Amino acid sequence: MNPFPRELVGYTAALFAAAVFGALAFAVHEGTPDLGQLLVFGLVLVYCANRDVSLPNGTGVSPALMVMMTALVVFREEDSIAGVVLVGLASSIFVRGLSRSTWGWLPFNAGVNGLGMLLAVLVHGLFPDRAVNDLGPGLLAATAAVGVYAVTTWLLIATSYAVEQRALPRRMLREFVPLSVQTWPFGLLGSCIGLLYLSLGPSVMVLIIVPVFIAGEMFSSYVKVREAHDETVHMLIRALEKKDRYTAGHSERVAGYALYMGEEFNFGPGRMERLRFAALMHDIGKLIVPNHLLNKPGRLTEEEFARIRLHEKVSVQMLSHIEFLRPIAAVTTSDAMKFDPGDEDHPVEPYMVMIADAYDAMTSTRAYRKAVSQEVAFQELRDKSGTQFHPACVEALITAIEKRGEMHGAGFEIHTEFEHAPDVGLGSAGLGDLLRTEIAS
Amino acid sequence: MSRAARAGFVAVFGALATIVAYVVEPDSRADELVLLGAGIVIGELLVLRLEDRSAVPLSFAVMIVLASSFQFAEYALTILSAEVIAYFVRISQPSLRWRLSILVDRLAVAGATFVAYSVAWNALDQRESVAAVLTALGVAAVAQVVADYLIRTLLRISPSFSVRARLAWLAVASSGMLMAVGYRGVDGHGDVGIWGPLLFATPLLAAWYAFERLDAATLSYAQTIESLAMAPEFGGLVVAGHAQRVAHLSVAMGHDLGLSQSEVDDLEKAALLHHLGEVTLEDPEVAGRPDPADVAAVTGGMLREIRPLAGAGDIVAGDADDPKHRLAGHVLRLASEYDDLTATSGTSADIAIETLRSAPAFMHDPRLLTALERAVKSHSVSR
Repeated sequence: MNPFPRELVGYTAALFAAAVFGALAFAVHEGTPDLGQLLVFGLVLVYCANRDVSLPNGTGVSPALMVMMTALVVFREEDSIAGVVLVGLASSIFVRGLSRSTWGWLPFNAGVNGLGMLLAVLVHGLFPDRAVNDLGPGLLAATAAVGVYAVTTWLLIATSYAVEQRALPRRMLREFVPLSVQTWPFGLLGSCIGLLYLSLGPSVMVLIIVPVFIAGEMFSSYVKVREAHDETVHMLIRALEKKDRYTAGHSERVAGYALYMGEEFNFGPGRMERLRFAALMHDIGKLIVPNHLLNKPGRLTEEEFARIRLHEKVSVQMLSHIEFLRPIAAVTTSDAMKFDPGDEDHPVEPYMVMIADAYDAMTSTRAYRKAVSQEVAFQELRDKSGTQFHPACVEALITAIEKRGEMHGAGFEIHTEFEHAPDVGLGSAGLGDLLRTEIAS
Repeated sequence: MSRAARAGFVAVFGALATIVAYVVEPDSRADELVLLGAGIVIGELLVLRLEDRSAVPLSFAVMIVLASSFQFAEYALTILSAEVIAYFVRISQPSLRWRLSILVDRLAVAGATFVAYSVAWNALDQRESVAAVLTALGVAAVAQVVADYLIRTLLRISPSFSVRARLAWLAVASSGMLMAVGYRGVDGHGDVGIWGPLLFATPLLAAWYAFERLDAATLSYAQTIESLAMAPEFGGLVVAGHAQRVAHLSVAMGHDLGLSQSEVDDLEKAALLHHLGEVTLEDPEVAGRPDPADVAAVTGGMLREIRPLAGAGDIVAGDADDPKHRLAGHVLRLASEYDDLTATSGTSADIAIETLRSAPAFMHDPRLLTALERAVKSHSVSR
């Protein structure tokens, strides 16, 4: 959890005060909500708030909105708007990751959710009492309420960015529609559970919470396994870097460039994940190459070169063993990764990995030569575009790097341990080093 | 075609068949039966996968809905039709015997669901109260678990009761009960008709999605570890298949010695990766064959850097404080030595075990040698 920024203190105080004031005003006006029900929903929501699951893309999934919508339907039946707002406030009581620097998020989230629920219940109240107790009109009212909740909370959070950073991040705009779409099914389901709760009592809450809890547990396990997988692949990369000191950070950078291309191609999350793993593990076969060959500073003999080339076949065999990489593993040898315009069935990912590999090799200083400039590397990729490299992938990488304003290569390397490398030269079998001899010299 | 795509096709055809049923028989519940039947077929395709590749199908939840709301003839006809269709839609299953076994299992579970619900409901005098309805539905859900267990045992398809299996059953049971309550209501209240099963299936579908992600991630992770285990073999540092054989042997010995499942899991990973560090050491042709203790120390160190593999690292390094990890370390070394004798030197299994027995007493614990002998004699690891 990020530390709470000082710039948001005033804004948070205003949000929290508005939500609490709203709850108190309605409580005075319409009477105190049923404390038993408030306790049930409050406890369930505190549980939900502390059991959310962080997805790999950084967003969180929690059944809290579903429970809040159930509470909205139940308290609406009692004409208790205060109950709905108080439930919204309770949904923000989290303890995980709470510390002196982060506790400010607690009133912030309470204010955002409290005000979101206040407006949602007011909109829900525009629908006649009788109608909302039937499924069809009830769902219509719930749809409107969830929409108002989504817009309100988004606006309040967007304003917080504007207050803190004096600008609205583009990410917020991009994420609005997908996040809103995610909230509706949970909200509508919550509304239906509310109707069942009114007819059959709180026992239905148990039946709904159990599968939701189990889904949460399985998601947590999935995230843990995924982290373990990531850590294991990074161990592999460290092992590779121990063997081949020329390529420190290489696999990570290749994965980064490959993902740039994947983004330009609008790959979905599953395909991006496969591309990332394939790029991180593209040199896995080097594990079998003897250290003295990988670290040989001069040119290799033909026999040594053939031995090193064996690593590509081993990479294919090892990657093919991993089912989700299998569709692209078979074409990860340097011969198969050369662009072939006639082969329309060839997956594009290996082309991306090859271009990323070549670009990083050219823009990194190696023991046997210094890095070339970004312009030279771009030119080299464009020169071989259509013959050796996939043209669309080349342009995707260049566009992505220019869009980000990144500079790589000579003069822009953050760190290199080969400061005394010669300006030109070909070395260690040219693994990933595709620069033509005449350019290198 | 993927399971999800096949489920999509069934959903579309099911919806069309429902419309036809509604047009032909507008006053009966034929349309709802058709829709729930389609739900059974979809539920046979969408399953909660368990660690041992067995599964709990979502169709069991729909069976609870049907059992609580329809007469036996309607119930039997719907289940039979749906399961026969599912038999043909389940084309990815490997063998005819397997698919027939699954069909028998499903029909038995369906029978048990109906009988259990009817008996419980009648025993409760068909009282329309929330407690009575939930009790009868709960009995039907429990009957499903029992019937599935018995049939799997009879058909020799190993039933699973791991934590993941228990959670899967719980998710199916609670969702089935909720869907049934939503469909039938209680004493005229809370009845949202066919929308009940459709809407209240959402949490179960969320659970299915989570199970699928976990299953795919677990499989990929296991395959990555197996793939890394091949590196020393491809590099010619150990004989082909050494890591896999040692892993099989170690797992069998671990179970025999009463190690817990998580300890056996760590042992298996340790066995698969116990030579991995060797690839980072100086080349044998330059520096000579490395000392096994150095390999163990380097590999153990590498694995200990990764939290989920730290236990495996302790086992490989062999210097852990935890006595269970030390025991597992001895198991690993004994299994590896056995494989070196049989696979590298070509020694027969009996002579290899005799050789290990005749080593100085401090080298190998007799308990471990007995476990090794039993593991070798058992079918799965014999050479």
